[in-house]
Amino acid sequence: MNSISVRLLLAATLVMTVFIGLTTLAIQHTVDQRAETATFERMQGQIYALLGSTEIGNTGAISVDNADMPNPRMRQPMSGHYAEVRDANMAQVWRSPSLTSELPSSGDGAIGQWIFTREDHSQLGPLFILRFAVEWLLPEGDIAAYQFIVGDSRQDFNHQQTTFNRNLWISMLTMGALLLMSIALILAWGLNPIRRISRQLNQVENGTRESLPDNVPVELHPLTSRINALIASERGRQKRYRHTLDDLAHSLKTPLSVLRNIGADSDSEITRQASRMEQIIGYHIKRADAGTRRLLTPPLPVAPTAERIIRTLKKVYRDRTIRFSNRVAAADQLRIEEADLMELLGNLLENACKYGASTIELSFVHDGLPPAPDLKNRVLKRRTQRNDSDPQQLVHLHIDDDGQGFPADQINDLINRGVRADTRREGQGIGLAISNELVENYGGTITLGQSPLGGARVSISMPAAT
Amino acid sequence: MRALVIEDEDTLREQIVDRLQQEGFAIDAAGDGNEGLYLAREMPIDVAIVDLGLPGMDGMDIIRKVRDEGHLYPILILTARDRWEDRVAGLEAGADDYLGKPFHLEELLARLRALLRRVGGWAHPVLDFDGLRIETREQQVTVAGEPVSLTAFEYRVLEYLAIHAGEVISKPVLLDHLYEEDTERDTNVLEVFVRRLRRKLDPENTLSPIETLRGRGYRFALERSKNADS
Repeated sequence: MNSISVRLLLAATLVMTVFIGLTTLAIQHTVDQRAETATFERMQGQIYALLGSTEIGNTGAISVDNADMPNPRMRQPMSGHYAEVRDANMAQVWRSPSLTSELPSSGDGAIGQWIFTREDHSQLGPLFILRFAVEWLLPEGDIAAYQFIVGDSRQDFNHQQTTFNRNLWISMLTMGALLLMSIALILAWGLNPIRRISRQLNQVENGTRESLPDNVPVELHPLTSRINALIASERGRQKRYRHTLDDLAHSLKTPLSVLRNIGADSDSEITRQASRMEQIIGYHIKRADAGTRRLLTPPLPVAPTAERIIRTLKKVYRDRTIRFSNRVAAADQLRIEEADLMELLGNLLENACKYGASTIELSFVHDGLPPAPDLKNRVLKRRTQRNDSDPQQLVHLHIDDDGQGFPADQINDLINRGVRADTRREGQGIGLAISNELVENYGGTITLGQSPLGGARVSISMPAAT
Repeated sequence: MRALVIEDEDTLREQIVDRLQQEGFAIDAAGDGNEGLYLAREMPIDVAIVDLGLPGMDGMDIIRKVRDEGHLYPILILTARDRWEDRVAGLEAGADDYLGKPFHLEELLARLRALLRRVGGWAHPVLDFDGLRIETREQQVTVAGEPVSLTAFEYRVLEYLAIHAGEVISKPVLLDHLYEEDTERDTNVLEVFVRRLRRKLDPENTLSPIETLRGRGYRFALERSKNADS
């Protein structure tokens, strides 16, 4: 019931069924009534004609000229059209040649009164019966009462009625079906703008569209313009947030540098406090930046960004012969902002450089398999809700090296804030923790493990960018 | 060695300049982008330290202009903007290394020395020649395994010539890289220093590490050790 078109269609079907049913019944009733009235009037005419062609002898004997029958079919036996005349004692005094016995008749009626009934007769079948009682002045001056009865078979009438009713129902139901179909079409047409908007929202989400278009029906215009305003403000907010953080970072770090270098010997309190402040600021600024929720992120090819980072690292570490192997295909994409992908790859690849690797390999795997088949593998963070409820395809970006690998007893702490496997080399702990939070913002996970190359493997698993 | 420092925060710039001067660098310093660009173009610089957020002209633009004009000296970016995005942009613009603020002056010095060694193709902080060895971190010189005691100026002359081993360095060029602008220069003084340096390094006159090419300048003549990388 949670669909507008289903609701409307159900309601329309219900209303239509009741409406068509009642209408049909009413029509049927009216037509029946009219047919019966017509039959009554016809039979009345027959009785009048019969009265007109009846001759009464002196003894009260009744005779009707055969040639003068009100209906010629009354001359044929069992034709379905019958007539008879009864006297005051209800004894049959005359019958039409079509009649072989008595017409079914119940009791007499007052003089001058028309009695119209439906009767069933064992031989004649269902009949309409019309009776009319008259008093006649006999030639002797006596008054004799007679009852004129006309009977018409109801078979034809019933047959016609059945046919009519069937046709009536068929045409009414056909009409109902056609109406329902048109309502369904109208609904589809009427709801089409809503469907289009939801499709366009999907496009905005996967980045193939900037905002919703303006040419929507007037009723939906307030909705789409608000959504557009929301999208714009979300983007603006993200940008402002980053700029503010950037400004904050810049304005804090320079005085910190000064402070730090004032305490000339590295054991002085100033130096210690300055470096504590620096760590706190650095961590929180990076974390806040990583914590910006990433909505509406279009898919980004990984290979070119990776290539830029690798070129940069080759320049910085050109004293060491580090072999980088970028095995990410041109078509491999992640739904991530470029700045974040750079931060991620920069941190992780530089860690590999710092930790004594001579070969670093970057590879991209499409599928839902766990990131690495070895035993030391540990998933450090649960999947985000989005993935739990909607199991979608995952892609994995592996960063392998042949360095010293992760110390097994610290593999858990490494990803947590501030803990470093080797305190002489700054940044490892924070780099991993920041990378982890970054990936989580996009609904992914980071897994630490052992590389086939013998060193560390960091695997980034994220929902596939389809 | 002559270093250019472009940093708009006065205290920090003074700290860097003081420390580099202690280490024997000749310094050019600027507090804004335009002055920095002028110095970067005009001075015989060995290494530049450039802050990115500068008044006048952005550090990134200075680096691009300097590289476009064909200056090859190493450039180190010093900035609070230490996201990878900025780092990559900086290195792609032509910088050679990147140091995020806040930093230790020792770290800055280590990076500068590494950059300077690379100019001569040296990967390690030890310049190893046949018979002579210079440890740039400790500023320690040994000849045939025996440590030699040098003054700061003598060391600077030796380090510059050794890093550019094989190249002919004229006296004015050498002076440019050893002295700051406002210092009085005298090639005769330089000759005295070089003579004294030769005596200390090669009292027996068997090694001849520094050649004099009359009218052209000096050349460090020792071969690099076989096991030293290039």
